[in-house]
Amino acid sequence: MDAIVCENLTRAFGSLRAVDGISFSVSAGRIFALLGANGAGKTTTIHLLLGLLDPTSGRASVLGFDSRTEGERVRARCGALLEHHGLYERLTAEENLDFYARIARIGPDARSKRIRELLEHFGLWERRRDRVVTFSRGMKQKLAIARALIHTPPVVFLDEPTAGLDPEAVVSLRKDIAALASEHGATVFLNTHNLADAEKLSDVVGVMRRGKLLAVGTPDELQGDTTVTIAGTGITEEHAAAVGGSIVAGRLSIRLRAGDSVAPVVRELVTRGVGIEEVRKERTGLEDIFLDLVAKESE
Amino acid sequence: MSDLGTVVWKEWRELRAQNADFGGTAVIITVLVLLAIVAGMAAIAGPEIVRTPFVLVISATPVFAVIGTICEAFAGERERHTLETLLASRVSTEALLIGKIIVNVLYAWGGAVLLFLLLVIGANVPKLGRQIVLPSPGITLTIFVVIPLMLLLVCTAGVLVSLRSPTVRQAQSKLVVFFMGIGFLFLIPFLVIRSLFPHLMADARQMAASPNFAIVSIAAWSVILLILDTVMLLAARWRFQRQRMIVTR
Repeated sequence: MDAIVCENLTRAFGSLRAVDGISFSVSAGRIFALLGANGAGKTTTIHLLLGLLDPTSGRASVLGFDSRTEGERVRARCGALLEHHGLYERLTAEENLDFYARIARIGPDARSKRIRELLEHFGLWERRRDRVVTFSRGMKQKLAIARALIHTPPVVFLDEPTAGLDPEAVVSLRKDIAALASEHGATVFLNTHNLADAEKLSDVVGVMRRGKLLAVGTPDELQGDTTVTIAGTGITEEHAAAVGGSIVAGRLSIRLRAGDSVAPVVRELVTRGVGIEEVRKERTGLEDIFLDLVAKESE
Repeated sequence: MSDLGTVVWKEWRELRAQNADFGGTAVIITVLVLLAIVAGMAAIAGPEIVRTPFVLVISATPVFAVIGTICEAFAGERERHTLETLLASRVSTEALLIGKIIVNVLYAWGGAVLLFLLLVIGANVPKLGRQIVLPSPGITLTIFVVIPLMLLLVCTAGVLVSLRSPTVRQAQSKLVVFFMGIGFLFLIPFLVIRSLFPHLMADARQMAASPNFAIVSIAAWSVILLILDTVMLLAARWRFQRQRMIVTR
């Protein structure tokens, strides 16, 4: 079942098309990463999905509810960490969670239990009575995620959750985000311009630029090509040409498509008298794919 | 209803925390000293002061103070980047609007009633043992009916301007200009009537001397304020559109 569906979704602000006819769906319990540079239209997409903005055309739905006409139902079933952490810095960590738990109409006993559970999970229990203004950025981000999860929502929207965090906090946060889907079965919609986040966390990646969705697929599908580097004795330009590769820094480099095996290439080279010393296979990174897609779109 | 209670709960906590930011204990001591000065002034002036407009002027000061706090309502949330998250939650529009208004009205009205009681008690303390002098029904009605309605007007106007203001400061400026406009709206007809129809002013002075004038004028002002409050509340509700509040940053 699809938890999130966008059909030709468009949102214009005057002459600017912030979101330009995008279509995709996200299956329940999966992590979807929308990848793009700042200003690509990722945040506007989240706003449209949460019913905080009306689309100019097209439609969006979350858990079967139309985001435009049933925004309240959508918001009741979603958790969100938006562009800013949105915490009340004058209030304590506990009060922040308490406020959103009350909004979610969780009863007093269940509320206390859930707040404790989340604060303990994110390592903030000891600081529960401290005002948020005294927290580090990483702690605020964790608290904001805890707030988004307070009512155990089936869909969670996270807008640049790792932005501005130190590497240790990023690793810890990634584990928490991955656990949302794997342990709690939540559908996670992740906006990021961090390629590593998308690569390490997501089941499906969408690449967005200037409001358009350039590609959607699993990281494997998007990272289909493999670069093979072969080092050995007697490798010439002629050998490289014979297997469809090229010589780079004295080594033969060849790009293979998804599913293609390196064995025939090695066999061919051996037949032609090359003494193979090393064969190294490298997946084309999401970074290269992203830059490639962006470059193609710019042309 | 539970949403309303939740918003009031949060607003109240924030207001308390905000006061603590300004110095906590130091603020409490300053307020207590100011209150003692007010009571002392009343004691020096004597019991008759409770029947003069002075009581109203002092008791109404929280109406001006609330201009500062009400502009925090939405402009403050926007400035501190908490508005977007709040709008992305399931909280209802009505609860947000009314909750923010209720807390500010109660906070300021509580202050007005406290000042009023201090003045009445302070003024009567030096003459203990004699008959207590109570304020006139007109003054009492103004404190308990007109001032809450005035506060409601200031708060709904504050919410209205703060809905789309990017900063608290801008909202406060707009609100001050708004009330200056309202002031002129009442002042200009008054000046015109005074200069063009002096006999009407004479009639008005005569009416003011009648014993029922205070009650009648309070009733009239209450009705006017009630109508203005309702109009402003409806305007605020109409102007509160989640998507306009996200776009207008």
